Amino acid sequence: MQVCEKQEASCPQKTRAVTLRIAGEGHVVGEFQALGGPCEVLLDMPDLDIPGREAAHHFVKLAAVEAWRIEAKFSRYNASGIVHQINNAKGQPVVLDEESSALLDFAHSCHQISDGAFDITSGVLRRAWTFDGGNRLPKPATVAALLPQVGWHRANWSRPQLHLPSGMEIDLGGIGKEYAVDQAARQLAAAGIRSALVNFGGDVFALGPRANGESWVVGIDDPNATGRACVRSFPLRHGGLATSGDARRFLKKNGKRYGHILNPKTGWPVRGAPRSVSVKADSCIDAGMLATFAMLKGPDAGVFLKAEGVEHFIIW
Amino acid sequence: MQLTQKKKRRRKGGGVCSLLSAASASLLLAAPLANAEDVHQHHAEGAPEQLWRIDVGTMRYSEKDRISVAEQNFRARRQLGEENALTVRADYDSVSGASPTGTTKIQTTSGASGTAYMARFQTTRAAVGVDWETSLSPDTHLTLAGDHSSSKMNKSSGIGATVARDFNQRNTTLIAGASYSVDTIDMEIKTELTPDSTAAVRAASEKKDQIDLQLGVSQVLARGTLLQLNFVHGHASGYMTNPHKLLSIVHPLTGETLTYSPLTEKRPDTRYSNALYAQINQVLGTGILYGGYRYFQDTWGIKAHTVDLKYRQPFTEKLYVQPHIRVYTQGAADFYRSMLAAGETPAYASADHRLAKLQTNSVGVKLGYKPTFGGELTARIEAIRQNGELHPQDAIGVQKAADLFPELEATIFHIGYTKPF
Amino acid sequence: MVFRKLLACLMAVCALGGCASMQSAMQSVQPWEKDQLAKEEMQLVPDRVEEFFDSRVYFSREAAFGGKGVGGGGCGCN
Repeated sequence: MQVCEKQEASCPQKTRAVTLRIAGEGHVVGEFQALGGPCEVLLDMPDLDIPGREAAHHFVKLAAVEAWRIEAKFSRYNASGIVHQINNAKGQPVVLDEESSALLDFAHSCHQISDGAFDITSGVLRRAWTFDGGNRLPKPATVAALLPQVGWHRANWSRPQLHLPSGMEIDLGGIGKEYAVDQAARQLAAAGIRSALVNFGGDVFALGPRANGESWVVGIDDPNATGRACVRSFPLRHGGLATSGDARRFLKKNGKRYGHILNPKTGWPVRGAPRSVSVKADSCIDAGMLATFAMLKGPDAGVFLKAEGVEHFIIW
Repeated sequence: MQLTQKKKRRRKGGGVCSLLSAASASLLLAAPLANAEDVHQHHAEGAPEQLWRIDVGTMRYSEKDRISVAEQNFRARRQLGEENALTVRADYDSVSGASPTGTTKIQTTSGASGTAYMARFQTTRAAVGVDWETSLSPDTHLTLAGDHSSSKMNKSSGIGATVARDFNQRNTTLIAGASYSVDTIDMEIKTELTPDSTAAVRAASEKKDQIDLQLGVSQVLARGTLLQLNFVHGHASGYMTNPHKLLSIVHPLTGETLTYSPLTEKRPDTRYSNALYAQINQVLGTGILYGGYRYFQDTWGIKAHTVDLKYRQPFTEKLYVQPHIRVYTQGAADFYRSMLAAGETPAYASADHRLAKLQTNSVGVKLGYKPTFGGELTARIEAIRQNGELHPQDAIGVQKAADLFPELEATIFHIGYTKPF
Repeated sequence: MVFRKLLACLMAVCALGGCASMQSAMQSVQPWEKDQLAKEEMQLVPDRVEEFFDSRVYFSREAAFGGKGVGGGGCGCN
C-alpha cells in the first residue's frame, strides 16, 4: 500500500514525492529524495487504518519539507540559495540571515576546535581532485595553485556579514545533511512525535525508543563489500549516529590508497585515514563532526574517539 | 578565542566533544521552528516563500438613471520575516450622477413617478490604508490598521486593532477587536428641520466619531467545515444628518404638496448598533459553499437581516465559477417619514430612502482564471435591485397614489488580478 | 434600547458557549486533516478587495452595516 503525493509548489522541475510503506516489523517507513540521496523516516504508529496513514504521511512530510527547505537554502547548486550567493559575491561582503549565520558560527567553531583541519572553504580543491576509484593523481603544482583560495582564516566573518576574498568558496555539504536530520527531528518532536527514526542518507537521529520500548537498530554498511552487508549494528534509543567515509570515493596509485578527506593545509588527502568512521552522539550534527574530525586525524582516528569517550565504529 | 579553546582542549584532553556540543546546541536552537500546522500552507499554492502579494482591481458600479462609481484598487502585502507582514492599500474612485433628495414630486394626482432627484454631481475620493500583522506568540496574532480617506467634502481617519488567538490545535480562534474613526464633513450645512429656502446656512466642519468593538470565534467543525460567529457593537456620535436630504411638506388632509419649501432633515446624534454575523464555509465535493447571515439592529430602530450565499465550483485546475445570491431586508428607522404634514414638529425626521423599509436582492457570478504567466484573474458581474414600499402607510391623501420609493437597479462590473511573487 | 443591546450581547455569548460545548462533544480536526482548510479559498474572507468594495456599495444604499469585523477607517461614503 503506497501513498504518493506530488509536491509542486516551490520546485516545479523536481518531483517531490513522499511514499509510505509498512515494514515487516510494524513500523511505517516514509521515503523521499533529498540532500542528494534517499531519505527515510521510520515511525511507530499504533493504528494503520486510513487516518493513521494520513497522520504518518503528515509527519513524514514534516521531515521532508524541512529537508527540502535546507537543501534549497544551502545547496551550492541552487542559484537562489545563500551559498550560491556567497560563492558568487566576487569579493563583496554578503549579509546573512539568522539561520545561515548560526551555521557559519558553527563552522567557525568547528574550524577552531579542529585547529583548522575542518574547513568549509576546502571545496575549491575538488577542482584538482576527482575521487572516482581511478588512478589520476593531480600534479602537485595544480594543488599548490589552489591553496591560496583555501582557508577559513582568510575569510572575514563578522556576524551577520561574511566577506570572502574573491575566488574563495564555501561548501556546507559537510554539515548540511546532519543539520537537516536534527532539524527534521526537531520538527517531529514539536509535532508531538515521541518515537521515530530519521535517516538522511546514513546520518541518523532517533527521537525515542520504539513504541514497544525496544531500541531502533541501525546497521553500518561495509564499504569493502559490494552488497549491502552490514558489518555492525548500533542500537539507538535517543540521539544521533553519523558515518563519514565512502567506499567508492578514493584514488589508488602504485598500491597506495588516497581517501577523499583532504587536508585543507596541504591540499592532499589525509594520510592513513580510515575508510569509514561511525560515531554516536547526542545530536546527529555532533556525531557527524566527531566522525569528520576523526577522519582528519588520519591514523589517530581511533585514539581520538577513544579519548573523547564516544561510542564509535571504525573500518580501516 | 582560539587560544582559550586550545588551552581548554589541552587541559581536558578529550574535550572536543563538549566544545562541539556547546557549538551545536547554539546552532540547533538558533533556527526558529516552522509550525507543524503550517506545512500544508507552506506548500499550498501561493506559498509564503513568496514575499510579495499584489492585488489590483478596477470596478464600475452603475445605477440606472442615478449615480455611477468608477473605482481603482491597489493592495500590496509584504511578508517581513516569519512573523510580520505589512499591507498598504490605496483606492481611488470617482462618483457622478444624481441622487434622490427624499422629496415627493407629486402635486396633483397625475404624476407617474413620485420622487424628486437632486442635481447632478461629481466627486472623487482617495483612500489609503496600512495594515501591520504581527505574531505576539505562535498562537496569538495582532493586526493594527490605519486608514485615511479624503474627498472634497468629507475626510475620514481611523485606527483599529484586532487580536486573534488560536486554541485547541488551531481548531478554535477567538478574536477581539476595536476600532475608532472620525469623519469630518466640510460643507454648507443648513439649520435642521427648517424650510430649505429660508434655513440659515453655516459653513460648518461637523464631526462624527465611530467606535466599533468586536468579539468573535471561528471554529473548525469538521475537515471541510469552518464556522465563524461575530458580534460587533458600534457606537456612533456626532453629525449624522445628511445635508442634501429634504422632506416634503404636504397638506395634512389632501396630501397636496404645499407651495413653500421642503424641510431639511434631522437625525439623532448618537447611534448604537449591534450586528451578529455568522458564516460557514463548507466543502461540497470539489466546490465550496459560503453561507453568511447577519442580524443588525440599532437605536434608530433599524432591524435588518442579510443572507449571502456563494458557491465556488472549479471546472479545471485553472478555472472556477462562483455564483452569488444576496438578500437583504430592513425595517424603517423610527424617525423615517416619507413626508411631513404641515404643522408637524417632530424631534427627528428623515425621508432618506435608505432609512425606509426596503429589500435588496443581488445575483452575480464571478469567474476566476489562473493564466500561464501566474497569478489569478477574476471577472465579476452583479445585478442589484432594491425595492421599498411604493405606498407607505404614512402617505397622505393624493400621495397614496404616488410611487414613493425610488426603485434602484444597479450593476457591478469588477475585474481583478492578484499575484504572489 | 438597553434591553435590545443586552439581548444581542446575550445571543453572542450563547453562540460562543454553544461553540465550546460542541467542540468538547466533537472529535477535533487533526493538523494533517487540514489540507482543505488551509486552502486560500477556505479563508473567511477569500477576496478582500471584493469584500471591501461590496461593503462600501451596500453601506451607501442600506441602513445596516458591518458585522464581519472592525475596520480601521470610516468609509466616508454615505
